[in-house]
Amino acid sequence: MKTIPKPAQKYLKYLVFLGLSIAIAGLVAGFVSEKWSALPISLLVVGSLLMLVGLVFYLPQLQVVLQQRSTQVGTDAIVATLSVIIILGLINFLAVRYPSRIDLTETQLFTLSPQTQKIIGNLPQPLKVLVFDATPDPADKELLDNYRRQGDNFQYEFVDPQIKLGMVEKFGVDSAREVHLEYDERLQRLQTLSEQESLSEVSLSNGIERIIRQEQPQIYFLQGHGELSPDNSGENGLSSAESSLENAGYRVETLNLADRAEFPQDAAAIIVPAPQQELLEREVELLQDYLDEGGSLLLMFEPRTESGLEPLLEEWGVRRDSRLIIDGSIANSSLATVLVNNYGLHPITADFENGNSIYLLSEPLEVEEVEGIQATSLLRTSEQSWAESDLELEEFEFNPGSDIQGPLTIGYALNRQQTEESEDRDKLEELDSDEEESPTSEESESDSDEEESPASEESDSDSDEDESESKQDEKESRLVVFGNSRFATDGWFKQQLNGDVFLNSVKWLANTDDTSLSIRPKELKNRRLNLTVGQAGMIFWLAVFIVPAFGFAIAGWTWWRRR
Amino acid sequence: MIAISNIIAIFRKELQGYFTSPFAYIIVGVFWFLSGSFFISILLETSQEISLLEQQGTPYPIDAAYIFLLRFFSALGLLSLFILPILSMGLYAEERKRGTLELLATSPITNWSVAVGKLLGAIAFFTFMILPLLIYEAIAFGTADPPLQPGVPLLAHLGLILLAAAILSLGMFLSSLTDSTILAAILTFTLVLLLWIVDLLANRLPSPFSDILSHLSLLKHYNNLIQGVVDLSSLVLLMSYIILGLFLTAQSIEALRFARR
Repeated sequence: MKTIPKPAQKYLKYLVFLGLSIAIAGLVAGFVSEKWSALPISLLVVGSLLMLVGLVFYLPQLQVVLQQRSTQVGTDAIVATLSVIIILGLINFLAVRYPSRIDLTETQLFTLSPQTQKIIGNLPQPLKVLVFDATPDPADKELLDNYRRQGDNFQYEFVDPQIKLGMVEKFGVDSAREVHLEYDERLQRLQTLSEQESLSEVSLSNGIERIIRQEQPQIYFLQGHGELSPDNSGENGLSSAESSLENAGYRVETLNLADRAEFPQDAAAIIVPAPQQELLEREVELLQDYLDEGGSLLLMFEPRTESGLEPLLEEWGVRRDSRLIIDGSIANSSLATVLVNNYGLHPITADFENGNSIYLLSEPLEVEEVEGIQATSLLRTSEQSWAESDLELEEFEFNPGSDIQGPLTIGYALNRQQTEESEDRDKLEELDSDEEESPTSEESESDSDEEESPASEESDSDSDEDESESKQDEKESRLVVFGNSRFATDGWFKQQLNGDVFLNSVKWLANTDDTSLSIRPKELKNRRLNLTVGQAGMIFWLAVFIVPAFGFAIAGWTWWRRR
Repeated sequence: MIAISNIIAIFRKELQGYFTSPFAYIIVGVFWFLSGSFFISILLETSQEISLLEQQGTPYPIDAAYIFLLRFFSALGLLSLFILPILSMGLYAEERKRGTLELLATSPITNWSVAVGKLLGAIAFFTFMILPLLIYEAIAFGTADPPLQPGVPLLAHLGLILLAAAILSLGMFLSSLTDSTILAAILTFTLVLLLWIVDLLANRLPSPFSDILSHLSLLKHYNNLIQGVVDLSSLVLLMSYIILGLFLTAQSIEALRFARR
């Protein structure tokens, strides 16, 4: 300050006004455009700096008036301190605003995949992720922060469901820790977090991609033959099922084949909920054609009804049994109620473990093997259950002659690959890459090829099967048959796992469960520390005794020497 | 050039002060004992957990070295919160008490050089303190299969030293304000603890404030570094604390120079 000649100092103070105007210009530009891009920010920074420099030269003049040295020094110090804090603040602001990160972890744990970066970077409108969780998990927050760094249109919020009841209402949140997406006034439930399931890039990016594409799979409920209806609520209604489908991002409509000249082309799945009268032959043929062309059907049957769908079932090797399942394992309850806690190995029932689901009035299903069709039994009743043939009896009991001893199956999932030699996985993979030509998937293909590192080999074998299965969506026919219809009706839907049985079935049928972006889950490298007992012992002695004792010994020695 | 040789002179004097003080060695002994205990207990705990997971047949790959590194450095960061204020408390308070501060303040060496030299001395001493840990790490990570890449552990150590430098720098400033070393240590500990947990408070606030406050958090940026992410904003923030501490120290000595005249 002292080195600058007086005249210069005289003019330098006007920097305050110059700086002020530049800073204001930056502020106005920023607020008007509502985008804090480089220009308004740099204007603001330069302006503030000029203002500070000007102030430094301006203030001594004030102090001349005061004529007091100590106050001058004090004010100088305050001004200087303030300016340093502001400069540091601005530098920090810029570093946060224009982030740059290098991920040194071997498996790039904290780096989002190129597909995610592209989607988030190119978001045309603001997208918001809402996590209904009062206490954010640091890992989830870290992931969301990472997403936010990729683009300005990505926002997230942790919502306390106990306080923001309006939000809970708006998004239809049922349980804590649900994750919802909001984009362009569309709302979508993504997943529910739990101890086992934390927020992952795979599910988040795929969910975002779906909501941007506005892909809302169309689900039809067949009507016109006394079926259960999504428009009814109550005993014969499926309104709970309908609303939970809508929450899961599906469009739901009823379908009356007699009214329509054309079969709908947009059906992701058609549900036939317990017809009471037989379907017309033409209708069955339509459904059959739909299924053969890679469609998906969910059939639910009430015991002892004729549906007219028997030819279709026969083609798939499914036979309905007219006997009624009685479950002896449930004490003090209607014997016609069946409790299931034994599930098949299938995507639909994968997460159920030994949870319960309840079925009132069920019939057993049997499946014969048909070539090219893969059938998995989904729901198996207990050992104590049997299929009763004589319903006129006062008290049901098992008669070895006419009844079948459990366990019985009341739900089957069947799928048929339309391609020949579908077992050949290599061929399937080739098909995969040809099939989807959208830019994102193209990139993802090449990407996943590149990442064939030895570390991920282990997981490869698992995920490959899923991928080859799910990517065949054009060509695979899927059928789910339940010998029960009550489980999805309003009174029963929310009981135990019933709703999940229904929803997961539709998800599997509509093929929305699979991931269209082939993002690999982030995994650690598989590494162990193979310490021998000797090595562990050595560290123990060194760390706990020898080294600290050495420190204390020197302390004693220096103390003694000082004396 | 003269400034640099001044800094080196101050640095050497400061380091010598630590190495000839029995008190400093007691701190070192305590630190070695605590960090060593942390090391071995976290190591055993982690390997037990992993072998349990293996028995359950977990399908996920586990990086034992990485998990251990994260846990150990988290513990080490916390331990440093308690140890570092003790290292920084005497930097100026001791001089003030002995009456040598006026000498220092009026000496031809600039306040900046003195502050930088003292800070470097304290950082060097802390680096000396963590040296034995490298031996344990060498033994433990030497058994890693497949071998460990050096990037993440190196960054973790750098993160620890940067964190230490930031805490020492702020501690040095507080030490220059008082002639009571205990008070300086308590003030430093309070400030650093506040900066450590500030992002917990930040969660409760509305948007712009919560972002600003959580950016100030030492824990967040330290975690970033020990996890293996070189985040420019983390480096900038820690450097900012260092510079701020140095600047404020120089200012406070400057104020002293004029106040006594």
